[in-house]
Amino acid sequence: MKITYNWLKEFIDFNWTVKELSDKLTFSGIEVEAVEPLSGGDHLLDLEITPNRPDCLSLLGIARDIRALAGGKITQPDCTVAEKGQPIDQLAKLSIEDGAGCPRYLARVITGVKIAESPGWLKTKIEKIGLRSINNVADVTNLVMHELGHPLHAFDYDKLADHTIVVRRAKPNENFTTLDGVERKLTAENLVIADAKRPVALAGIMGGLESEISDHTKNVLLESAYFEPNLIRKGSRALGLKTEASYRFERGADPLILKKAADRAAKLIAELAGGQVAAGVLDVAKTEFPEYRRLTLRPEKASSLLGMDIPVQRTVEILNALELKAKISGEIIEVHIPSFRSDIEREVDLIEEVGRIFGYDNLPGDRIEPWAVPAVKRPKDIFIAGIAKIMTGLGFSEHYGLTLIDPGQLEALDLSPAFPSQPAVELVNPISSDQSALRTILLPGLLEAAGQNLNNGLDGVRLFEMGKIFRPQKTTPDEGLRLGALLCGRAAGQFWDAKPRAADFFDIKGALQFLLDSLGLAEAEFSAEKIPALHPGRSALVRVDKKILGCCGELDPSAADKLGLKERIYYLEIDLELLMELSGLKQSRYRELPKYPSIKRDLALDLPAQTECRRVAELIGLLAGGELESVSLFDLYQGKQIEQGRKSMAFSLVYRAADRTLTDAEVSGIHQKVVEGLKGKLQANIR
Amino acid sequence: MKDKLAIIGAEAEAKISGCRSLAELEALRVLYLGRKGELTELLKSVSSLPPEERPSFGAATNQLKVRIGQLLDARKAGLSSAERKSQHSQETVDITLPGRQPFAGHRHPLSQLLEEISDIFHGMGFTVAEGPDVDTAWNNFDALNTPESHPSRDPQDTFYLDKENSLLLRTHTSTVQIRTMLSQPPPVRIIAPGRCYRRDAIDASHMPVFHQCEGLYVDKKASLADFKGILNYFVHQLLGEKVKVRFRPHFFPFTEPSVEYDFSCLFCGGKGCRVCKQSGWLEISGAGMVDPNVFNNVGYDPEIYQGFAWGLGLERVAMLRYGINDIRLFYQGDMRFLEQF
Ligand SMILES: [Zn+2]
Repeated sequence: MKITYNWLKEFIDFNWTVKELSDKLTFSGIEVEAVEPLSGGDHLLDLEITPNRPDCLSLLGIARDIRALAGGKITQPDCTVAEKGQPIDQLAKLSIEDGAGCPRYLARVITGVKIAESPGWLKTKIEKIGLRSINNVADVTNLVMHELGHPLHAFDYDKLADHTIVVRRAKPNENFTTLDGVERKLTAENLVIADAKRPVALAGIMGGLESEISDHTKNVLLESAYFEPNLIRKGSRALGLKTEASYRFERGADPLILKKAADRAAKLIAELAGGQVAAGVLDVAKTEFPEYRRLTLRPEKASSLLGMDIPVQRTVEILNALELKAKISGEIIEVHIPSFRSDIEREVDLIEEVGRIFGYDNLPGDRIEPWAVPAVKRPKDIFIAGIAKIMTGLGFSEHYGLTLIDPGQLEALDLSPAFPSQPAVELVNPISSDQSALRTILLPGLLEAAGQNLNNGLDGVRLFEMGKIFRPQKTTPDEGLRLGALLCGRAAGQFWDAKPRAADFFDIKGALQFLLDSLGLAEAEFSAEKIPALHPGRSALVRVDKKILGCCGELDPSAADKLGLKERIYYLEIDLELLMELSGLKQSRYRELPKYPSIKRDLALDLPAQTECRRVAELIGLLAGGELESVSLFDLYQGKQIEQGRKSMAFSLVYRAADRTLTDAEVSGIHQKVVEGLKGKLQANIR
Repeated sequence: MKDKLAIIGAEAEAKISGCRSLAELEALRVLYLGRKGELTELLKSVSSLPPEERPSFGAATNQLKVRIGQLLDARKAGLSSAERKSQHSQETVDITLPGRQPFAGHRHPLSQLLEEISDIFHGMGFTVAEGPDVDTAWNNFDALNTPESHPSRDPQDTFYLDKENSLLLRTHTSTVQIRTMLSQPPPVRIIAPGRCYRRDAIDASHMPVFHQCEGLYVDKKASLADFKGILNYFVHQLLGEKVKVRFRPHFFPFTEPSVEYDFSCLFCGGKGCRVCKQSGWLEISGAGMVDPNVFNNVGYDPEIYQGFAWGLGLERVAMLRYGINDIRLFYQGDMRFLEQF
């Protein structure tokens, strides 16, 4: 809401500068968002009034807060009206058909007015706060709305059929043209003010074009009404029509200010436009409005909640200055809440009133309860932090992908059987189709980031993300936690005396093995598996203890093409919750260190090209028996030097017995058995 | 082949005994025993022999390897230690050449910030609590005393998963406060970090997905002054002793009294600059004493228990702390950005 400094001073005498005023208001709950100098030394203040304070959508309301802060006297606007005209009930009729929507309606009539430009003082006031001056009647209603906070509406009395006001719901498909010239189709949801024939105003929102005050208007019917806030809010929203009036009514007007506001406006209209105010008012109330509600405040509770002691006398003073009539009664304070403070319903609301005016700057800032025991970190947080350390140590930087993704891309990015990407949970009201579903896998976000980085000219990408995925269920989706990691382009470990190398499958597998080994899960099993999103010949399913932990491999090159990714992309995704569970089960146990020396033998084999490394190693283990300590591949060759369809693999075997020193002859015997076994079982030749 | 072994053996013996420096000796070691040394090369040609000769040839080669090794060691011991020292002094490298450095990965700035925040609050006895991103409208709005007509419920502002608007993407992590209070009796001291969602189009200061780390403290005497004390301690730990805190009264449905809290400007120290729009202060978030209606909704007796809750936007704090002016950077995975943290 906009007010001017000088206008506010007409309501309350205070000695603050504009700067002091805006600070004081801001720190008591009425935020001054902007101050703008005006001509003549005046200033425009733009206030943010929180939705619980409709009473502050007026100069009088703000003056009350200032009185509570600084003391001083409030000057009420002059509302004495001379009723020189004939009795109003001879001039107009009023009925309320929808008492729930309009609990009270009050009208005055002013006859014989002359519509003209407003006098200078009124024009200036209205224009300073950014409104357009219209005429002497409309400007008065705007002026009174800003003074007292209550929206009024002036009708051209002679345009009202039968000089009758009926407050009712609109009939289905009833048409009505509002002041702004827009013809609107109404429904039974709309509360209207009608004359004997048709609607003349959208209640609490906007008047009608036909009954508007014009240059020819002779007589005025002035409306001062109270409308039910929710109905006005819904009506305003349904029509997409927000006005100064609807803004106030939907926050809750004061049902007991109707006469005062009508009096003030009628007085000013008679003064500025001539004419006579009809005697009396039409006033129909469908509800009883008590003058005040009773609440009690325990100073002890206030001090406990706020953590500071406010003297009881000051508490009472603050409440009274806010017109929350307070008096001490033993240990408590009894308070009468007036009708314009519908926001105050409970003791705690009173505590806020006292606290904000007393000032939160007075709160001690050095009070911390001495808690004896610091909280313990959750195992999950420790685990996640540990994974992050490993991944960053492996050269991956952490990415935060969006949770909202394009469901259209999921079919091409399926990670079944590890992680089916479809179906996904879809939003009812997405902003756009490319953010309309909850992610089921982390892959799309990491791919998008990889593409961006490559477009930025980077020659390699290494990113990981730890985040939630969502699997649809009957009601609430199931939320899982995943680790995804992607690499492409230049491989790690570059050095100035070594040739640059492009990343390949074994970089992503190696990263995953390193991670698993770090967690004591080195025996994870990688098996070749067709995974739709991955390369048909370069993808693996990863299992630990027979449970599927995730998958890794090269992104299917045709999927990469579709996404415009020029590099070969390597990717892994694993279930973090399962990983945490599995690593938690691993209990390390000490094995005695070897006492006797080992003997190392190399074994070079020529094998059919499709023979899996794991199969060879397993077979060697089986053939060698208990004296074989380890077997590891140290060379692999496939190419010109070897027959087509075959490959050469060289293993290094370490033999050791736990209870004696093995002799050369013993080892040679075992080794020979291994060699013979491999020849027969794998069509291997020894090289 | 065996002859070749004999020739190599004799030659090696002569060269080693005639060797005058350690460097020369090392060169000989490489020549004979290195990965590409003569003996290794010789072993590679073993496949050209008839299979029955291979084992004996292999054994002979190994024997020679051992012998040359012994000769080298003996000669090395023979060279004077002074000579070795002078040799060492010549073995210089350009130590300014880059080392063999693996790629270094970087943790996301929001993760780093969250860990720091958690550590500070752990020290004050707060534990981390979590909840699902998809939650009920009851946990997100009703339990938090948000009226049916509140604009935040509007499908313009909140993502819904069903036509009845009963399931949604949480708009704040206050849902975790509700879940925690429903699941345990007081006292409660938690921080609740997590992703939140609002139906905002993406621009430099808005993302439909963002992070909060809210906090809640409920006990018999937890007061607004306690909150101020905790907030002061927190901000001093996180951003430095010089940063000040202030409250401005405000309105939220879930707290009463409610405040917005500000930090003194990190950029100008409160003197006024472009970032703080000359005010010297930066708006951070909202807070307040938990509304009695919220306590009633979770079955806590507001006559016995009281407490405070506060919001904190992780992106907001990270942007202020690191001087980041575009929130989108947090979600683009741009390695040039991530590597700065
Ligand atoms: Zn500043």
